Amino acid sequence: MIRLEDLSKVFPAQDEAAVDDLSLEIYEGEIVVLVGPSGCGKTTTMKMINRIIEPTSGRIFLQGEDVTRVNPDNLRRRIGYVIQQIGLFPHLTIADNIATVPKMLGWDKERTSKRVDELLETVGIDLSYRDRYPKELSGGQRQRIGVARAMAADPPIMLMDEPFGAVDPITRDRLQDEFLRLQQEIRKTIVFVTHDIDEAIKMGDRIAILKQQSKIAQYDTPERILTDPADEFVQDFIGSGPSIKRLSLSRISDIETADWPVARLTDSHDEVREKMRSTSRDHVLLLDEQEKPGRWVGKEEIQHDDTPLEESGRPAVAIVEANANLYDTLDTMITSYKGSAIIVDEGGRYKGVVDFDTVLEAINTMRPHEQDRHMSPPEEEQEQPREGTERDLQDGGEGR
Amino acid sequence: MSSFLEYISLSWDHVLELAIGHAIVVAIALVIDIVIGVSLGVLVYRRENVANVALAITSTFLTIPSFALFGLFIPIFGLGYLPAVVALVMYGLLPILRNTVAGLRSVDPAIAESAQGMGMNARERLLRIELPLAWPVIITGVRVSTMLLMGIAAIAAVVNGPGLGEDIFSGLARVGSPTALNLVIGGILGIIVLALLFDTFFNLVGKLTTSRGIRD
Repeated sequence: MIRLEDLSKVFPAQDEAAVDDLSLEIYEGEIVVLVGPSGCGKTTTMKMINRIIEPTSGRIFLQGEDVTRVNPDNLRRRIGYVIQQIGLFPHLTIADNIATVPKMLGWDKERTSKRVDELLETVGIDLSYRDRYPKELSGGQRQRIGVARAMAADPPIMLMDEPFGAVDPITRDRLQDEFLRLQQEIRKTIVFVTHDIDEAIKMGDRIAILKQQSKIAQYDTPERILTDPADEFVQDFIGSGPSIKRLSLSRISDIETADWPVARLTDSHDEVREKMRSTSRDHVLLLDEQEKPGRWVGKEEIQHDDTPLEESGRPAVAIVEANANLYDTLDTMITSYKGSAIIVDEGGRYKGVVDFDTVLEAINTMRPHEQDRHMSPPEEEQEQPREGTERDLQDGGEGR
Repeated sequence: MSSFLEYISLSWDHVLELAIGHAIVVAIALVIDIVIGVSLGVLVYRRENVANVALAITSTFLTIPSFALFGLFIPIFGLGYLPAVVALVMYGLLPILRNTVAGLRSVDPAIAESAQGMGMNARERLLRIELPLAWPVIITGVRVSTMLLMGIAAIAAVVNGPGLGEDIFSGLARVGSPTALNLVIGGILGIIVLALLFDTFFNLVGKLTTSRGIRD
């Protein structure tokens, strides 16, 4: 999709190249994160793709076409661009900001206006903001408008330079989640620059860890970078706790839930006791009419006691959504009563229970082991970018 | 005071005529200054050295005593409108040029970069982004030039230029006579009123042409 060939950049009046002979292939529909210490040339590298910075030598291919010499303005209209400061035009309304590229491409009014509404909806900004100005927005809202503006003409490629760098950590986390969800639908090819390895692990389908002069230390999936760092530089850059970090890459939906007895809050006491007898577990989970987890009831509590079910046992807490990652699930479990977490769907309806042992088992399978160092071709990974995780889990279950 | 009111009530049409001439010569000079100042500013704002030279030359204009300059122009441009306008253009250039350069330079580089990143060429960036953002600063420069030219235009009377300077100079020439003071005060007040009118006008223009998004 994007191919960089022997790309170099030497800035005038500097002896050392900022980017030295970089070759990189970026696959369609993936988020590729360029990450590295400050001054390593990651931003320069990104800005050479839309030629905000003209390369000194080397070639750039987009969709197989050599764009190193084409008209840069036309090239840029095909590439979405989001920078850290966002750079919304303060004198234009939100709608006009978003409509910038469509207007340059000569779209008619109606089409442009429809597209603006569509994008506002996509990034979750109320349509009443159309005629407001950037100064009236919060940092998070501006960031969303920046993304909407970059996507306006539906470019196949987006370049994002620390796009979430200027917002507070809570907003950043939410924006990252939103963006990942959005990417599930839009499947753009995205080059994402950050200095934050945690952000890289979270956002990237593939990560290029860069040393000085944009030399690639490792270009691989987050899983493989964490389990099998190429050298000391990568290891240092990942920092402490690579295994813990890895947990954030696996979803709870990837591991098998434990078999757990459930009953209804509307059931009679005898029905619940019957359930209890037929299981080896010492707790039954009671669900309400909407299938939402209500209470945990223990053997002793139900045996001779006729307290209404709504009040017996303890309230069901430690609830996680099925798409939560293992890191968050583990965190929830640690604070829970019996070391188990209840999994629910987006509507909050019960899906299953996962306990400590199940998660431990999953973690065991992630321990570093020798893997194929070669990057797998995109065809193999395209369908399921996280395929490696699932396979590891299944294999690991038998292997130990 | 009563004698001045009497004077004005008798000769208001004469003062008005001079005031109109004054307004016209200043307006012509301002229009030329805006065209030259803004274009020059656009040409030089990215080149530090060139900009400094342009600013140095235009500030030198301002240091030339106006009386002398008008006098020097007589052999070149003769008498009347022409030497007056040429001199006024020279005096009014600096504030507009300086504010154009400052305004364009004050545009956030991130905004310029995101415009570039979206595929705007240099001309589109200038017309759609940079000039609109610099506009409030440029208008402020125009208002400063207006004030400056209102006063200096009075001196244009030495080259037989139009304007309220005529009354001021003829008043000053016969200090002691009963009408002298009235002539001078009439000229000065006329200039002040004109200045206020022009300033109000440009203030209004500034408000109407500045986007709500960048107004304070």
